[in-house]
Amino acid sequence: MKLLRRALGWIRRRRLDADLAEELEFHRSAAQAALERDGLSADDARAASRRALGNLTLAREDARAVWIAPWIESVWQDARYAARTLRRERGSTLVALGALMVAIGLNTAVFSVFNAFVFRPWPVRDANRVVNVYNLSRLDLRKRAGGGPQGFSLAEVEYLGAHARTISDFVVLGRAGSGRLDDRDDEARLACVGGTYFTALGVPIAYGRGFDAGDAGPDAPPVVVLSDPCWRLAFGGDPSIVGTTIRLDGLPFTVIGITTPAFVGTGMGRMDVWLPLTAARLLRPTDPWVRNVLGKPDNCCTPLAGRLAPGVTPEQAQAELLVLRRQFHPDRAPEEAAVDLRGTTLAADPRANLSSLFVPLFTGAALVLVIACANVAHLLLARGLARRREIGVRLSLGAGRGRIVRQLLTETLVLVTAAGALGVAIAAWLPLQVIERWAAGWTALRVAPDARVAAFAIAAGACAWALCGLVPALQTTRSSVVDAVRDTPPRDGLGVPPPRRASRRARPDRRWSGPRSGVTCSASAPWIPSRTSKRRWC
Amino acid sequence: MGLTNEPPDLLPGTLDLLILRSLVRGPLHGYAITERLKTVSQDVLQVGESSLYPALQRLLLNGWVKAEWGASENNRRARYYTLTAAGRKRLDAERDEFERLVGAIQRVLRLA
Repeated sequence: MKLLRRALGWIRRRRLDADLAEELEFHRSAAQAALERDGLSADDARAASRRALGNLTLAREDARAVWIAPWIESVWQDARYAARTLRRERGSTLVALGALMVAIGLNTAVFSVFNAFVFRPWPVRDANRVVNVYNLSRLDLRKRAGGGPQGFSLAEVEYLGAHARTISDFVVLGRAGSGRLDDRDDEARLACVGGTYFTALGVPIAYGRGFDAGDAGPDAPPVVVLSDPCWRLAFGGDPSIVGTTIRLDGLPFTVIGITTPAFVGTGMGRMDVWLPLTAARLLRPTDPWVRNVLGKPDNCCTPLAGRLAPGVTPEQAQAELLVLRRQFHPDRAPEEAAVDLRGTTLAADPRANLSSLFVPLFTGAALVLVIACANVAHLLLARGLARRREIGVRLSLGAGRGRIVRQLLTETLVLVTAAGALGVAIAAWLPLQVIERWAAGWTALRVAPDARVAAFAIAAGACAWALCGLVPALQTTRSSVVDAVRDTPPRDGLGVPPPRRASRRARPDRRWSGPRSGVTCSASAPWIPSRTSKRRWC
Repeated sequence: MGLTNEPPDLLPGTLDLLILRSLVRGPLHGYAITERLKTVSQDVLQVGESSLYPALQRLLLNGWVKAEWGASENNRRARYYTLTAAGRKRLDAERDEFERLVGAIQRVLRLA
């Protein structure tokens, strides 16, 4: 409530000012009237009332400060002045803006890809309740027959499914492969998955339905589900394809459903067609994985996921699965029955090797940011030197150095904020274009800016602000008042004329002849101690 | 929230309390508040505008009084302050607190 009133006060601050001024004037005139009643003449009473009231402006500002903290007002003032300054020096502003925009945009783009790659769970219903179940037993890893890494044998999956209470449904993720869809030239990517895949995960379906346990039985007619991009590409996005028969590697399958565009698989790669595990035995009867894992239920292994039962934590589920595995393998040592539950993001995947890809990417992007900031810092330094007279005058009028540093930092902040906004726009657009052009065929990556990307962009902007703002602000305000004013050439009407005997090389006027020569001349000047004014310009 | 320069020796928060109390009988403008405080306190409390108006703004901001422009006794535009319901509640609370404090100080002066 109080905050609301304060905000209203800010919006109506002109009105507030006018009210206060009028109110204080009324107060004064009332005091004057009282004095006149006491016998003073009108003029004397007016003067006396003024004296009695003291500094009216001060009183007004004190009263006004109750509503609007003075620092907010001065920050606002700084920001407006900064915007004006930046507009006035259009050339250097555009250069700085461009450099920072590219640097922040690039960093944010890399991060948004990283974000989509690493932190996004599977695009299924209630994804944070879905876990990958990993087998940590060395015995199984040794025995595995070309199957998915660190999974379970089908017999064990069946045992766990029958007894586990903490996992409501297990999902056999099976195996991916490729095959020819009808008479198309390019290969379609196939995923052979368990019968619970669509129902337990809650895969979003646009038309028809996903297959269920009934379609996965040994005698069920062969069925497939198509992904949205595959359906659009191969069948022109015609919904009537549902229920018709297509051929995979020459064998007939009935299309029973099409996923929504949001779902193209649970892995990194993009899937075109999903089939029940039984279909794999039809399509690839001689494949070693099909023979060894599907053909012999005791053989390891197939990757496994599961949905946690309501109210169950992953730790509870892990504890139960550990017990069940020991029961299933009574002959094994306890550590050979170990099991691990992880979320479905890549960040949670113990096998993912993220640093080899992203460390170089982020290093490169960070370097671009540092280089851009160094350049912008140089530009600002040069500009600050060209503005030494302005700064010197302000210092000599009594402005504190802190106040001027703040002013210069505000200018940089306005610059960085504008560049950051443009950079984020780039970051939202660029990865989509890159994926669209070069990776649309195979990746399941969905890049979209979210709160995490926004936080990263703000952090990158803050880094850029510190990197390119601090040094120029501190450096250009370091010169003493006397120096700044004395350096001022006579035509500015503020300083002492420079000595006539100055050598031809040391022409102080050069520096003021125009912004460009000023910049080139002073770019390396700030680190030279400014004691002898004659040598400084050599 | 301390007072600004005058009167310097009032307890913190007392001015707000006095202003709220002076508005109980009806709306007053700023000058009338100082007059009221001055006459009732028999010239002891002379509140300067440099503390009165910030205090009034503070009360406005907290919603304890509301301000309206109206005509003064001699027909000039003046800003009248009215006590709100929240202000009345605040006044009661502040008064209890103030009396407790003053009682404590008196006890110390008598007995310590």
